Amino acid sequence: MAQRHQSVVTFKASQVTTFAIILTLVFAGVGLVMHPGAGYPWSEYFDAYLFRVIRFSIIQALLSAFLSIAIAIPFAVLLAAHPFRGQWIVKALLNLFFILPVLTIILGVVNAFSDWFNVFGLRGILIAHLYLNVPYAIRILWNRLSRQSETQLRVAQTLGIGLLQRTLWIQWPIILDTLRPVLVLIFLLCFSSFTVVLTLGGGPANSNLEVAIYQALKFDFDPRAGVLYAAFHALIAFSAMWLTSRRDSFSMDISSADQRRLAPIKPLPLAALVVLLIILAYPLLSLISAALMNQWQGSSRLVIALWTSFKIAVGSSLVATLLALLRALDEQPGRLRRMLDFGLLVLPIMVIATGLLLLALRLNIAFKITSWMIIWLNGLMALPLILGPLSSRIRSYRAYYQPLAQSLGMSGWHSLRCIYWPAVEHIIPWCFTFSIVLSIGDLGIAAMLGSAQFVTLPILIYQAMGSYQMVLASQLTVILLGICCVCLMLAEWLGEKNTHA
Amino acid sequence: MFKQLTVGLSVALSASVIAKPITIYTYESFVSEWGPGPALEEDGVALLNRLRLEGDQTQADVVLGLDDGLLAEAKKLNLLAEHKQNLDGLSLPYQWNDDTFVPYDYGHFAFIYDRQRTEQVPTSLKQLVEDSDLSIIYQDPRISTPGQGLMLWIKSVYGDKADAAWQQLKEKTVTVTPGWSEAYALFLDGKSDMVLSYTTSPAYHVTWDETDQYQAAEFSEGHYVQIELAAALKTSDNLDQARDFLHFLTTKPAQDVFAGTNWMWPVLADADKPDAFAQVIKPKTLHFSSDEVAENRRAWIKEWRNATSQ
Repeated sequence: MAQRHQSVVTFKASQVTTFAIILTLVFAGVGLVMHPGAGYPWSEYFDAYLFRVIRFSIIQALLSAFLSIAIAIPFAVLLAAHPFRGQWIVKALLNLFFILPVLTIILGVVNAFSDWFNVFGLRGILIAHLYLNVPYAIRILWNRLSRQSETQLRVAQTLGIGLLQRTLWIQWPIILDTLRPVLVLIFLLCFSSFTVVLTLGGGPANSNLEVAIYQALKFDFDPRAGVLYAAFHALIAFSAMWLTSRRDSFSMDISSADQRRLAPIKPLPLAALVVLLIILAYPLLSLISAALMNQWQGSSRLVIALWTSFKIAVGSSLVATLLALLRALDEQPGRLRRMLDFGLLVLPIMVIATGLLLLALRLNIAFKITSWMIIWLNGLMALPLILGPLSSRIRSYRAYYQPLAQSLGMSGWHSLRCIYWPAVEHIIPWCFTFSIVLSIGDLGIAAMLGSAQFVTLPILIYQAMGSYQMVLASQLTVILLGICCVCLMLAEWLGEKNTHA
Repeated sequence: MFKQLTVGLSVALSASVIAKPITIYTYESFVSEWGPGPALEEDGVALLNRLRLEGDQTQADVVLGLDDGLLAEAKKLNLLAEHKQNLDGLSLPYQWNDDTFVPYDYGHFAFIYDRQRTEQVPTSLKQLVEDSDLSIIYQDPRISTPGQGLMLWIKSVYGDKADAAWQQLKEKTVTVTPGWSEAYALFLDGKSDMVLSYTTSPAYHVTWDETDQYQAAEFSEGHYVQIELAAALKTSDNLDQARDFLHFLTTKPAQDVFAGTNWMWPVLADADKPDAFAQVIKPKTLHFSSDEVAENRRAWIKEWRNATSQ
């Protein structure tokens, strides 16, 4: 009886999130099918442009993925060679690049490299993608390499095997093993890239499917073209996803404290680390110096933009935290749910946004529910990134306490309150602030759904860039960066405080 | 360069008879504080798309900033009211007979160059496209009226061979920007030899920067012209005020501010203009009828898109 109660609660809980995701997909699908636009005969759309956009999307994403991996491998090997003191700071920094608002990277790249060459085009896109993905790739490979057993290392030491041989015989197989899923993931992230391609594309020659969807709807008001591009996008993205079904290597690791006794860093890894830090810091430093060297320019809409961004970020974080919590209570994730969780990370979000917008226009409510749609979609985007820590806590608590709860005949509600809530209570503030960082930098969803008067901080930045007000854009971006850093420090501090409490 | 338009207009407006505020959709919303406004909703083409998207749910009383190329398409939306104004005596590049749109200024598109940097200036569009090795920046014809202007210009000079012309032009193109302001700022920053703007742009630099360094290249085939238009919306609650506003646009107090703030030619011949307008080149006018543009715009945009994405 008791067991039935409990399974009812967790079953329902898990269902809410899965149901919400599926409902969103269905609504978007209905919107895309029932679009109100006039459209033209289907054959009109299968032109040279369509195939060029598809080709560019794929080539760009492949280049980004392979270059990211190629650059990441040597750094990961060197950094993973010996665990060193303070490596958690390096790891946290690498994580930071993955979650920073894309606009800060773009503005950084523009500030840092535009004096050297024309950053508008494939080169600019690739550089921005490398900045976003190399740190992430290093992080994953480093994690995997660190997991090689102590025994292997000791055997290697006894045999006097040097770094090169060790790389070849022990690490290379591990890298190869991790390579495919990481390649696919970065391919998908870059394939779905919107903000980078929109801002650095510089014309129709460098347009990908995400941007083509946006332009079809916003420039031509041609939802049928949007639907077609969306279909191609989904087709290619899901085909690539089928190539990998493993998601364990992707979870963001937040455990910062390493329990082992660590040595100071060795010279070679130190050199690698210094090079890496210089390369990574360069665009951010040029962004900050461009912002601070000039007089503050300001914008009369800054306050309203900040307020809107704040409301959206808080709303999205609530959505993300709640959905992630419910989802984490799920006992045995099936393949569908796992696909959904992972899918959200790489889902062509412009497609979903387009579908919802079209449906809302059809129902004549588009301008009333703009903010809610933006909040909802940003929440869904943040969900997969905060799910990991919640799930693992709940899994371990369940393993410990479920037999006890059953023998005590605890109801589902009771075990939720007495077992699972204490398990996650202290990481909820972390989830919340982390989600804020993820949502506050959003440009794509807000730009797609927002009306002319709708302005968030990222939209303001984009508009300043659109008027080539690079100093103002940089200054606004530094504000965004500052907000994110404060939130991240707050997240760390909340995590710290609660672990000691 | 266009940014004072709303300031000028709202100053003039406050002196006018209009008591109740009306909502005006324009390429620079009244809240915008820099350049010709938000890049996402930059100008005429974006304005038309906005009306399309919002349909009869639109909040606007007046739409200001569509141009003659978009006229027929905008009227097809069936959202606009007749202006009921007498427009006799306006000075325009061609005869105006439309009952919905009120023209308030006009200008010819032109490529602007920096005299100190560029010596071999092409004397025709064909020379620019085929022989010159100058780099250019222009605007996206899908969302920007200057970009669309270039498309129509190329089309009126090249006709069926526009496709090849775009491919040649692509080799010289630094970037295609979403709007006028980004293109112009990149040019001033030295990122290209020429930029697509208006024949009147040099007058701005003469007036404000006291330099004749920037010049418009005169092309022998003629220059494509743009007439900027305003119209009232049927759905407006303040249709009378909206029409008063349309009337006001063509009166001398409003016309006096256009040349010096919007840097376009006013439609009243005796309206005040900055002295520098005397030096503005007066090229031959090229233009398509609005119906012809409406019929072909999509096909021509596709032609541009296919040629330039190669």
